[in-house]
Amino acid sequence: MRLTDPERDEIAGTARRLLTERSSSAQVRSLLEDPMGFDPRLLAEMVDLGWGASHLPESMGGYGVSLGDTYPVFVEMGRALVGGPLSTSALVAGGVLAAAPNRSLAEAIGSELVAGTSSVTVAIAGTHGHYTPAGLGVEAMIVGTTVRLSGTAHFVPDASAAQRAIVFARTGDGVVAVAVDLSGPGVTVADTEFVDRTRRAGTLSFAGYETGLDDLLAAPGEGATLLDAGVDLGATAMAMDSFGVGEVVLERTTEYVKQRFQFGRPIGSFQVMKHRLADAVLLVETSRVAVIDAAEAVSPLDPAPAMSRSLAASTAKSYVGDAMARLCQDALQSHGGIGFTWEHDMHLYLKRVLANQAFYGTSRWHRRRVADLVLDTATAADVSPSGRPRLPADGR
Amino acid sequence: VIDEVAAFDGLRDEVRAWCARTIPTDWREQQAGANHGEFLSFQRWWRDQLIEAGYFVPHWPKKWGGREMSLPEQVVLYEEMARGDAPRNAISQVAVYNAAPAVMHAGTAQQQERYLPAIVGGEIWCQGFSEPNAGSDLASLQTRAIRDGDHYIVNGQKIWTSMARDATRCILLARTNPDVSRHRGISLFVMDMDTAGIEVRPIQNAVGESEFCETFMTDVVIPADNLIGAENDGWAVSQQSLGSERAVVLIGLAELLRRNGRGFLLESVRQWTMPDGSPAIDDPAVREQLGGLYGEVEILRLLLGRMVTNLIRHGGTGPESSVVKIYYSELLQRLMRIGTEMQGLPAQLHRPTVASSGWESRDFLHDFINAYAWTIGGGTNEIMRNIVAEKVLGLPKEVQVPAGPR
Repeated sequence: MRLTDPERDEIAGTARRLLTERSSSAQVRSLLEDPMGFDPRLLAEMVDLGWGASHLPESMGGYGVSLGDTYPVFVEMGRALVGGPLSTSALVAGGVLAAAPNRSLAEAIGSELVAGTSSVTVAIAGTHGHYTPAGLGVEAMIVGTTVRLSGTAHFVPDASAAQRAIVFARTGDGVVAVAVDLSGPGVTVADTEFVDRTRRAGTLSFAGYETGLDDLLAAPGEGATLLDAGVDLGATAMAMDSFGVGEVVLERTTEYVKQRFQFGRPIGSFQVMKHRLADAVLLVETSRVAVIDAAEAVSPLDPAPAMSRSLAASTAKSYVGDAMARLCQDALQSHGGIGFTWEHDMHLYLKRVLANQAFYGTSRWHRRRVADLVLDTATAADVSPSGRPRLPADGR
Repeated sequence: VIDEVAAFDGLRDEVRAWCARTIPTDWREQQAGANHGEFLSFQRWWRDQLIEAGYFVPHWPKKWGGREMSLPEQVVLYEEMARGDAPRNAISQVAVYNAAPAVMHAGTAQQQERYLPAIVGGEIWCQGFSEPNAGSDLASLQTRAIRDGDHYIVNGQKIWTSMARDATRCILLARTNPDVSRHRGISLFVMDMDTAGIEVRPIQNAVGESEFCETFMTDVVIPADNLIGAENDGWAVSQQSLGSERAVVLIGLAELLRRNGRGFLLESVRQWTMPDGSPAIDDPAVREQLGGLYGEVEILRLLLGRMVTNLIRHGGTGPESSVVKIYYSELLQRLMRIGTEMQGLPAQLHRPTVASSGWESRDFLHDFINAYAWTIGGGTNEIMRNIVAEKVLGLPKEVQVPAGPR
């Protein structure tokens, strides 16, 4: 289902109003040292508003609206530096479930996720934070009908808040994706401390964790494809989040240079400030279209074909990630001394976008991923990056 | 990108077939190293093909010889032209996209009768706006036009008057009242280029081409009847002429950058090798750079799609056209710069310039240098950034300092 322009604006407006009120700077700061890092009442409200379900298929209990229309809620969560598992669970895990080959298991977990009774995280990265089959930190041994996990998954978003995890693991026959009950024996969840304190992530360590073949969301031979889908969803989630941060940082910096006087004039009248902020406008406007394109391409209801999906997601991840990081770096500088203090929010914004740059693959890796997709195909010039309705000529 | 455009498959097929039929596959070879005369005769031939097909002034009203194409139809037209590797229509840009809108907006019925049929017939026009001391600061222009009965006497000097030596007419900005503040005392005229007192000297640009000129005016007599709009209102009239059609033309430029710019770069890299003899396309640094460029060119396309969609749905472009201008020009230049760097020494070899080819001549070094036409022309990117900062963000103007020597 697609929404009309006014309906989409309505969703974005609701999100802006709620989060302005409920995730103010003071509220964000009050959660910085909180073990869970989010306000459970706000999470419940966001779930009630359908933010976790709207973009998921009806077979999972979702509302079946394209992510191309609902993406503004995830942008707004970045803007308001919201922590907590909603984006990880609904967007990344939800999207992986929607794409998982084991439909009955995916739909069972998906409906718990949508109902808000269970939060699901996705574990891909190993020790070095890579999102590739070779980089996985968990191994699966399949013996008969038993699946045994060992090793450690690192950088697992919102691990402590999750009841379940989708764990990607190596086997002798390729990658598998396993649905893991985090309360079960044989798995230990530990929080990791990050410089970005607005969100949480941790490790999942497996020692003697056993489950059945029924809990494979993707069997050997199917897992690598699903892993790629997970990377695209995570990459897009990071791009949306950074874009929201970049937009508000541009607004706040513009406001600041208008009211900060030095040499008897607002510093915003100096051309160096103007050009820096004009560059920020460029970065925001170019990022906006990249984010929308990626949201359309990874939409769990109607994802683009894998190649177009990955092109759009990797382009958004690398371009928007770098653009918003540069914008926030420049913005801290534009604020001068006050921007370098703990009490000012600039460092919170900067740390968040720097974390977003690193999660789900670095910009460098994503640019190479684009190259791998386009350089080795004969018709590179004719490939469109997303699968949404195209100018008809493109397909011919 | 644009839903509204999907409805025009028929036109797409028409333009595609026309391109296949009309555009000589060897036009680049023909135009390689062409002298000015050969360039001009090819340009005239190409212009006539466009006129005959109804693609010359597609957006104009039927009564002036146009096809009344809607914006989505124009998108289709320019996309397909780019896809068909159409040559650039270099000689008609000022007439169609600068002079004609001013005449349509502000000209009298007689002026429209006089000029529009001439333009649609292919007359070459030039634009006398910039001066040696009035570039980015156009409103400080000093060319004087003094009323004397039923005519004006014009004295001054213009620069960057593209195609001036071949032009029949010129749209000219001149100061008619030196006593009021800068923008207010300027008028817009049509000046016939065969009038006594006009001297045109071609300027060679940094790639060695001589498309633009200096134009000197000594006691040039312009009939008062050639004044477009009211006296002293020329600034506003000339600003109005920056029509939305030009935003649509950018769609074609984005498509050219995608196909002939990026496409040619990707194709070329496959032929190149690294110092150890391995294919350049296997080098990780090369791959990373190409992967980044690939996305940036797609973003240009998405950005233009958004701008044109806004234009179709809500009418008009705001300062976002400055954003597009900056992004396009710098991406064009960066892509060509990267091509030059990757190709290495062979990129430094002199190759005959391919006239009529625009900014994707398939010679990276030439195209890199030629791209300054876009980062400087049409308002330097520095001025564009000021516009974005002041109009989009509302930042305060710089503190004025007393005027320097003229």
